[in-house]
Amino acid sequence: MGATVPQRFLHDGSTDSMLAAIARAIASGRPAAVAPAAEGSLFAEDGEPVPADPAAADALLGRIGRDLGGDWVRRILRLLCSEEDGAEDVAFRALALAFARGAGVMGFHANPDVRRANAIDRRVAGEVHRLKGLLRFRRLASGRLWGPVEPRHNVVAMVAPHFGRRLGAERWLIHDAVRGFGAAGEPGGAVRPCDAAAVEAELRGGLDASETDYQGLWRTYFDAIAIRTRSNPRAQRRAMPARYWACLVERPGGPGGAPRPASK
Amino acid sequence: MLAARSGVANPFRRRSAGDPGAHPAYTPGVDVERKIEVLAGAAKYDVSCASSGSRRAGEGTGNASVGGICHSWSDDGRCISLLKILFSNHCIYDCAYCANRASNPVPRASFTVDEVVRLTMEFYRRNYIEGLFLSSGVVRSPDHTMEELVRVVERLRVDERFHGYIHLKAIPGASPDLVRRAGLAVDRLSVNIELPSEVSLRRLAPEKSKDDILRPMASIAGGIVESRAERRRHRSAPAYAPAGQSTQLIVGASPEDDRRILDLAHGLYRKFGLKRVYYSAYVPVNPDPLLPPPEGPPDILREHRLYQADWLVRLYGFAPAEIVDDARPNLDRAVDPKTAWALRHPERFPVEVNRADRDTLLRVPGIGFKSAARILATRRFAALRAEDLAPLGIVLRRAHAFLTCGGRRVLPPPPRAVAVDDRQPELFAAGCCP
Repeated sequence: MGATVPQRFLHDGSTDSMLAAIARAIASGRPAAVAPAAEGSLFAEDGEPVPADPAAADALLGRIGRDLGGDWVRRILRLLCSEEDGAEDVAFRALALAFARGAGVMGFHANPDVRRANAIDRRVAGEVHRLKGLLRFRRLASGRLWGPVEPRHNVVAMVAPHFGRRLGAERWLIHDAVRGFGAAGEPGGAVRPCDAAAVEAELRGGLDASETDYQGLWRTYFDAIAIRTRSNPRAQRRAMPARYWACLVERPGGPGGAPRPASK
Repeated sequence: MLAARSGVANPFRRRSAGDPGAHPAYTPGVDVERKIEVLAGAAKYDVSCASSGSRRAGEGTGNASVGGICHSWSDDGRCISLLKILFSNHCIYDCAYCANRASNPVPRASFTVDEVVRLTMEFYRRNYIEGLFLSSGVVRSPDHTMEELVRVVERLRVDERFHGYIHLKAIPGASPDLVRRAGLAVDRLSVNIELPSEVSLRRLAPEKSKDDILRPMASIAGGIVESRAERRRHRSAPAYAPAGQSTQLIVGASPEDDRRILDLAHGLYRKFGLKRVYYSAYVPVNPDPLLPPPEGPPDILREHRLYQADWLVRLYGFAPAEIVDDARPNLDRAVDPKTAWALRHPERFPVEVNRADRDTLLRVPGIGFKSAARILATRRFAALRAEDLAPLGIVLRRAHAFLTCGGRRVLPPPPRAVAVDDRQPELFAAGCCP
């Protein structure tokens, strides 16, 4: 007797499609998998495409919130923001397990599905936390603060509320330079998504003339605060991986040690 | 490059309030860069850069995140969370170990109140920092210096409506009124105890007395207790140093052993409710016959072992006497203090990972708070197998000899797995500086 082949539900990459595909996979009651639709796939046997369905997505999030609690809603959204291969399937498997065994199942660390979900969740949440510190704003001539980032995961929407609370008196824009879009904040704390065209329009005026002075002062500070006799590049890289250096203002690794920030 | 294209004629012009792009313009004076160089360079030996323990928000700019946020890591691997500067490195004192001692021919500088306020705000808006750490050399008198520091923090809180994190160093010998005003404006207020004994303090910092240090410490501790009690009754009562107080002492400039240092730290935690005691390996900055000869790099390993021991006393429930005693007044340099303790107590091991309670698990080398919590959580679902242990974050390289799993000895991990996978959770378990 051969093993049952799991039924595959294919999403189009949008969060609504992923959630709808997860909802279908859970509802199927059979061994299932959730995967991205391959580009140009013509064969029905690849799986069943599930289009973005906001109503189905909201219904699933509502059920998660009701049955498992708000922490689970946030956990699933974090998993779906991950750019790691198979993260959506990991989210589906963790969720199916939680519906079957209760919200506390994420404490079952010996279970491989739980472990994978926790590991991805930790990496996404870790990047969100890291960017709260490593994001650097530049003052644009328009007065808006511009913060370019190149995150590994699609986390700008999760980072933005932090700055909405923190910079309530400012106009700012967090710009995901990898994915092209961003999030903008207005005085009062309102945060709105910003598409590529809106980001481009914001950047048209260039940087404020005083910006280079502040960047210079910050670099001076960064260099002055290190104790040379305790130089420890390994600890520096472990805490602040080099992949984030391009969007910094300071130059870790000593003079000439860092790749230059993306110029704009 | 963009600055040139922005078309702004005067790069430092102050914009009018009606200007649609208005933001508080700051004109950095020509010497601000030099002041940063001198006064950040002078502050770099202060260890604390924590920005945790305070929840602050309000209309205006900024908030304090209770868990703290690191914003960068300097080339010495230390976290940068706060703009850590001295207000001035002029000093009337001549402490032997201090780079800013009066007799030292170093470049001197002082900020103005306005410069510190503007720098803090502009760096904060750009998300370079989580807030301000402000200390100072003693200019003219302790009260004069403290008054200047208090003016900075009050300007930030009142005029700028700044709600980011502020850590202020109280100046030893400053009047209680000034210390109290500072406590009401800042998140953390601290006084450096500097050296591990009164004898060493008299010898190396003759102008500072034990009383000058302990009195403000006691006054801060009293203010914190009083404020907490008051806030329990009235939520709107002002918070006094809500992130608590910390202190710092130099290790290696004087002859005290580790037992003396840990006993002192333990006493400070108990008596003044300190959040942290920071240990700073002595960095020779001045040739002085009273100090050890400047040989080799700072003793970072000793500093590291003291932090590990401090962690065990503060969080893991170890008594200092379990870690160091008359027979062993110094920490073992070859192994961490928990492993050293476990090796001295073979009667307590091995521990069965499927049965041990939390306190017992926390005494096993290689098991921290997170891995202990994961062990207990997983046991609610199923018994642990040997292959489950490493993924739970247990550092098997250290733990395997002290554990059994299902009654069987646990095998050591293959060498590669140790270096990459098993160290990371322990680092997180130990926690970063915020």
